[in-house]
Amino acid sequence: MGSSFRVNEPQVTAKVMDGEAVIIHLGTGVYYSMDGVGCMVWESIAAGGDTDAIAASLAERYGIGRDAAAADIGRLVDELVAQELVAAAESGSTATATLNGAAPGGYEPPVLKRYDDMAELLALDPPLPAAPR
Amino acid sequence: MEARPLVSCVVPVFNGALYLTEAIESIEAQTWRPIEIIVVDDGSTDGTPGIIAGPGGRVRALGQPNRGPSAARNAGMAIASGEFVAFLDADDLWAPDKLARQMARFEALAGLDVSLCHARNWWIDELKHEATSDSDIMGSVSVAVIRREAVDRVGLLDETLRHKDWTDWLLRAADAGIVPETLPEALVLRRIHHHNMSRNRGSEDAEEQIRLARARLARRRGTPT
Repeated sequence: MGSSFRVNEPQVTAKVMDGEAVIIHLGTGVYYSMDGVGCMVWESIAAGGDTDAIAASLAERYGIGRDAAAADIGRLVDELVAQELVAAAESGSTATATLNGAAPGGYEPPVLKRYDDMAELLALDPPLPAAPR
Repeated sequence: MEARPLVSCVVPVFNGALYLTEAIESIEAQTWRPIEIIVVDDGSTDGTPGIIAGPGGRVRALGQPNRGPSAARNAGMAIASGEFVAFLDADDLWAPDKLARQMARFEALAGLDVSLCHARNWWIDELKHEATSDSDIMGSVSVAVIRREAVDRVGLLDETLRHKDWTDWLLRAADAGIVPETLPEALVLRRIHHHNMSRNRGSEDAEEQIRLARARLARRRGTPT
């Protein structure tokens, strides 16, 4: 059994549209994108899927070695954790989520693209505390 | 001597009767002339219309059904006659030399399109306990003076954004090659009260930030959003 993770809410918000996951860390203003296989993997990780199960599912779907798939998932998860986009889920909360849909084209290792070109502007305008009562 | 350019000062207001008079007075107190003051009533249901219609006809008034602050700013820009446009939210105040300081930058730098400055958060008495030492901010639209021609190039504010319309405009401006200059001084007082729009905007704000990111990615790739 591998590990499972949860999106680091409310600091992090994400949306999947048109085969692309766009993720924002609201604390830093840095945003990220993942498309293709990466988008599918993001959806599974964000849904609390077990990383071993995701790797197995990738291996089967794309006819790649299971170890190679596990290594790619491991690298991605390390980066997602390092960027504080996901955190380890509490034990026992692993979902059965594996891969949904199919990315077009062959297998490409999932890549987290990072953009900090909005960070300065987004940091200028932090929300105020909730309305006092 | 060449005539000084007119600055159109656009004030969107929704139920802002409590603070609107002070905001208008802070524009009238500007040491820069010529100015025109355009107040856009975004469907207020309080005493706002009475204040706008007040004595002296000192402001150009515009009314609209409630459509949000970005639509109100756009409506104000649509009737603005100035070569430059500045915004002031109805609960904020300008320092008397704000426009003069910024217009001096436009005079000094021929290619300048957008001048920004800092703003200082200013808590009403009842909310002094919320005050933080880190009160110097830059995100408010009340800091901006824009060359009208830059708006024609970049486009109007996106009226579907409720909180991030100004950030979005700055991003689009940056992608159009516009580099704003920011004065280090706080020439705007941003009043923090019980009903700032910046309160309780958590999830809406996050959603708009995602939209901004997606739009920026699309512009980088040259694909429509």
